[in-house]
Parts: sequence; C-alpha cells; structure tokens
Amino acid sequence: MAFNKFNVLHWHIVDDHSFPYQSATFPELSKEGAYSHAHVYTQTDVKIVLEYACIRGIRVIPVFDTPGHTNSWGPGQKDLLTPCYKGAVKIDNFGPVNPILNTTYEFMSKFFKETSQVFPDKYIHLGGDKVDFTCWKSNPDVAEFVQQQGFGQDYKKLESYHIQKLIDIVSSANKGYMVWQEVFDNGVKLKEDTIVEIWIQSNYAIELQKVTEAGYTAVLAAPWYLDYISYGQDWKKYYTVEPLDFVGNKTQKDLVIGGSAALWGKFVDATNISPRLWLRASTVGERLWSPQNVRNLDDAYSRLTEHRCRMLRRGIAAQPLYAGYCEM
Amino acid sequence: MKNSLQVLVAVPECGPFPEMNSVENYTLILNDHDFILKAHTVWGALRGLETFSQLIWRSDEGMFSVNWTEIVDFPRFPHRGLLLDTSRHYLPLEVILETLDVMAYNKFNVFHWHIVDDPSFPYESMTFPELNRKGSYNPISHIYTIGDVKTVIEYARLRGIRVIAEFDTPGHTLSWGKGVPGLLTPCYAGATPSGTYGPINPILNKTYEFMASFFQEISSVFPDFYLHLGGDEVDFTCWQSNPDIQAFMKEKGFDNYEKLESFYIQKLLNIVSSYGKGYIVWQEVFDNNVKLRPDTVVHVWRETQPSPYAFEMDTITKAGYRVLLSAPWYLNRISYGEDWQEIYRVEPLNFEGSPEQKALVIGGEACMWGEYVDETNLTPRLWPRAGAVAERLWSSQSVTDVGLAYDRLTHFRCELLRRGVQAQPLNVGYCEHEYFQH
Repeated sequence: MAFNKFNVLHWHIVDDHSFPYQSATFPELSKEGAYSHAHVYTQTDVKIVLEYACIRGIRVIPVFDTPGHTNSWGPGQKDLLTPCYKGAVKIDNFGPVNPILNTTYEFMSKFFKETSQVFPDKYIHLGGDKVDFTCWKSNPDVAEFVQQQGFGQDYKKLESYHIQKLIDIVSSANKGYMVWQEVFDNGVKLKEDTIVEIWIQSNYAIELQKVTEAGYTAVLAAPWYLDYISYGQDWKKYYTVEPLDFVGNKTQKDLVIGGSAALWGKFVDATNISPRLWLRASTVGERLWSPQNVRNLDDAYSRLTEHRCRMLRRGIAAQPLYAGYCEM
Repeated sequence: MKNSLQVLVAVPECGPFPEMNSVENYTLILNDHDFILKAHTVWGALRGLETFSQLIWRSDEGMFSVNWTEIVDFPRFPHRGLLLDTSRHYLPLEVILETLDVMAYNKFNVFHWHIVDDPSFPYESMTFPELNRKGSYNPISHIYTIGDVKTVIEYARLRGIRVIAEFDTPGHTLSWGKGVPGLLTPCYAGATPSGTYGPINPILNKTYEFMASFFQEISSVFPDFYLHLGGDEVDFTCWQSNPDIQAFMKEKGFDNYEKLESFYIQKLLNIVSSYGKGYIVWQEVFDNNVKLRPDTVVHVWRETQPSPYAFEMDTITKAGYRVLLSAPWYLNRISYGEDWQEIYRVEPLNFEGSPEQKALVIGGEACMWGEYVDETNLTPRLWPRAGAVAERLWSSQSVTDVGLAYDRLTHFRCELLRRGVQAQPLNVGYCEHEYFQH
C-alpha cells in the first residue's frame, strides 16, 4: 500500500463466517466465533498492524458491520442475534442483531468502548449494509415492537432505529463514523461529519450526487471491487474511473474525499491475495493521488509495467499486466 | 499397525518413458491381512501411491491412520494433460517442476510444453543458437538450457508424466525471425516491404531445410513419440501482401491461402514423420483439409467458432482421427466465482457420434496460456481449478455430483496447502494449515 501511496487500511475484520478479532471485554466472541483458536488476531496482532501501518503513514479504520453480517457474533454472545421463527415455532436459526433488547445496546456500548480505545483512528466503520429482514419479520417479539413503535410494515425504520442508537453510542465515545450507503439511503439521522461509503455498482454517480447534495462526505468504492476478477487487462477499467464524474456543484465535489479499492475475501486468502491486488489496486492508487488529467492509458501502461517490476524486486508477488518480462 | 506398504508391479522395468498407451491400472488393498498395492506397470503403481497418500489421515493423538480399503482403479482417458505457456512469460525451472509435482497429485500424465511463441523463444537450440540468443526475453536468464529441458523430462518421467513439446508454426513465430533472418515472411505495404514480418515463409526451400534440421534436433531432445506442431491461428494478411507469395500461389494454382498453409504443413508433417515421430495439431490443420497421417491427433480448442466444439469433435472423429479436448478448459480465462463447477460439468463425449467415434477421444488438456500469467500467480490460478479437469478425465463418466465434488475438492485443497502448494480457496472457509509464504 505504501509503495502505492495508499493511506487507509479498511479492515473488514469480522463478518458472518468468522469472528477472528480477539476482544478483551468479550473473549467468547472469538473463542466461539473464530474458525479456530489459530485463526484469531490477538490484541498484540492488532497493535502490530496499527504500528506497522502508522510507520507507513497508513490509517487503520476497523469495520464492525451490524446489524447484518453478524452470524459469527452469535455463538459467543447469547441473545445478541435475533432468533428466527417458522410460524409460531422458534427454529434453530439466527438473523441480524436483535434491535429490540436493551441487552443488545449494553453489549454494543461496552464493545464499542473497547474498539474505540483499541483502534486510535477518529473514524470507525459501522457497516449497515444488506440487512435481510426475513428473520426480524418472523420473530413475534420483533414484530410486536415494530408495531408499538409505529413503524408500520417498514422494517427499514427498525434498521434505522438500531443504527441510530449505535451511532449515539459511538459518538459518545468521541468517534466519527463511516457507514455503507444503505444507512444514508434509508433515511437514518446522521451526524454532519458522517462519511458515506458508496458501494453499489449500478448508478453510483447518482448516489454520489445524492449523498453530497445532502451535505455528507463520500468515499467511493463501487467501481473498484477488485475481487470481481475477469479475463484480460481489467486494470484499464479501474484506471478510467473518474470519481468526480457526477452532477454537482463545487461544494458537492469537495465532499468526495476519496475512494477505496475493495478486495472481499470470499475467494481470496494468503495464497492469492498479492497477485490479485497488485497492480490492479495501483490504478486506484494513482486515480486517487494524481491530478484529474493524468489518465492516458498508454502512458499508465508503461509506468505500471515498470512499477510492477519494481514491486517484484521488492519481493511482492505482483502479477503481470501482459506478456513480457522483468530483469531477474 | 503397519509400517510398510507392499508394492507389486507386474512389469518391473523403470527404464522406458511413459507412453500414450501405458497401463495405469492399480489395485489397493488395505486390511489387517493385506497391505498391498498391485499394478501392471510402474506407472499404475505411481497412481496407486498417490491415492494411498491421500487416504492417510491423522488421529487426534497424532497417529497416522488409514481406513480398511479396497480400490480397483484405472483412468477413463489415457491422455490427461496440462498446457503451460513459457513464451508469453518465462517460467523459472522450479515453477515448472513444482507444477509437475501437483500434476502428479492430480493424476495428470501429460505436460504439454508450449515452449515458444510470438513474444519470446526461450528454448536453447544447439543447432541454431541464435534462435534463443536473439529471440529470448533475456538470453542469460530467460532461457531453458538443454540441461533444464532434460531435467524437466526426467522429473516428469519419475512421476509418470509424458512431456509433449509444442513448436507451433507457421503462425505464432515472430520470435523465431530474430535469430533466423529470412525465415519469416516480409510483409508488404503496397510495393515495398513494410518492415514487419508475418508467419513462416512457406515458399522458400531454405525454410524446409531449416525445419528439417531444427526438427531433427527436437525429435532427439524430446523422447515422447508425439510432438505438437501447432498450426493454429495463421494470419494470412502478411502472406497476401507479399508479391513473391502471390506469384507462388499463381504458379501452384492455389486459389486460397488455406491451400498455401496446407502446402507448408504437409511438408512439415513429412519432415517430422521421417524422424519417426507422431504429431498432434490444433484443429485448424484439420479444418483446412490438410492431408494427415491416420495416427494424427487433432486438438480441439475453439469453443464456438467456427462451430461448437462438440460438433467439431463429431466431425473429426467421423473422419477417423483421434481427438484431444481443450476448448472448455482454458483455465487462463478467469472469472468471478466458483468457475471450477462449469469446468467440472463438461462431458467430453457429449456429442452426436457412434461408439467407434467416441472411442477416438483419447482425453483432454487444461490450458494455462501465459498472457497474464507468470510465477507470481500461476499456482493459485492453476490449483485447485485444474483438479476439476483431472477428475473429469480420470474418473468414471457417472462421477458428476457437483456437491460431492465440492466437498472432496475443498478437502483436497487443504491437503495441497499442507503439502506447501499455493492453491487458492474455492469459497469461504479455512484449512488447518494455512499457506505461509516462505
């Protein structure tokens, strides 16, 4: 990253499948939620990452994505997730975080107090994307709560209710927050300095317009999902993205503070992360650092191939752009 | 408790090389009385040993254990290959050797070495040293010496893997022209040469003198009966532009350039036959009506043009030639997701044809073309995806359940990691031994 002048590590550290973050306050989370005791990041590991990044001028923003994407939180924290029902019968399945219990927010309060101390960056990413409402709807207690709150049948309002409380918790810990675009799209009341991360591919230019029109800061990830591999020189399509290519005035454009190359891990681990990242991510690095008029593909190609050989010399397994060679 | 596996081989010599018709059957019997591996040939024993190695598991106490087993196994297809391209990108020797190791883990038995092509000529020729001196990316670091080649052949042999070298002509030969001036056709822009070159020049006698000498060397360096002669994607534009070639065409009464290509290939095939070699050619050679020897193997690589590959296989086998299938197995064509499933679902004999025709399908090859591949990403891109091809070519036609294959392939992938192979994940999950970069 430092070789490419990236300056933020967006650490999507936990999700549905596993919980590798070893929490000091809630050790059961990783004890029950990690793939194995060997598949964890201890507090020391985290400190090492933070220090290593700091020395390279890289901020580390952790992502603790809720209320969806939380399957792995359940085994180590009883009653955190919503039990799903089939008709009147509770089934052995869990859904998103249970937004109606006080215990949920007591937990969140303590948990985010810890993460706010462990991760020194002013910002924390709260996620908030792709919440599947099916389980909530199936649960009679949740359904009743929704009724009482006057949400009607709009479960987006329940999601907002959760995020709102979460935001209040995090704010009181003196942190700013980043959220995925759904939180904005669903009309949650956000603090002025909230950063909205735009990830949905279709019509992201329109989303940029809306978010900045509402006065929020935006970070663009949508066109830079590097996990979506394809055959050929796909670096070109990442390079030609122009983040400010949307309808808006100067004030709006100034609210776009940058972007994020995303490498989701469904099909990625230590065996293939380096070739998959580099140099495709380098094109994003240049797009975000260099002036708007630096966009000639041929020129970029010759610089990228040279940069690739440079990275090889530095021991990075950056994959080739096209047929050719580097001096050994 | 057992501390040795008895291996019984009926035909004991280790001397010869594995061949197209080598018998790879084996029987593995593991119980309290018998702990044996039986095979007709040493090649079958190698396959059985690989199976045995994969049956072993470790108990919680750390003891190596194996279940009672009775396996009678043999491959469905005799030619189960993997193509590597060392022209688009040079692959260091260790990378090739490691690939041969993993091929053996997957019971692949043919290494199709697409060794030279347009961008570079890394093969160190003893007869024409200028070929690699001028044609390689770097004549010191980016070549395969005769020692390297022999190392590959022997390493492969010890794993029951045949090495079939491909020297693709008349197209795909730009790098040849640097070391052998006059070999390639000079292209013309109107009445004057443009300075660029095209395919091999088929009208000159010295072309065939060169080919005769060159392939004499190749025939002696590579011991397998078969050589792959390529013959694909010949771009006629340059030939068309050249006035000498136009004159030659008139003289010969050729009304299209396929006939000129055939003229060249015919002479090449005769040269190669005279050295006692058989040959494999890409499908265009058949499509363009070149006269082929009956024991020619035609390699099908085009998925939909000029016709769907199933149709092509029908046509070729109807004409009595043996066929290799690669068209749906271009592993270099990556895409997002579990693309191994599509690879696995291919059924090579899914075409209209008689049983006699189907018997002419001798197998297939997974191809890893090198435009976007070198040692930085070869291994994760190859494995475990190529495993889907390997099983399709070895196992019985009825082994098709994708769900079961997923379980076995994910388990196998973790085993590859344990063996130090940088095989990429199939989906979310984990292995006990994760990959650690050395």
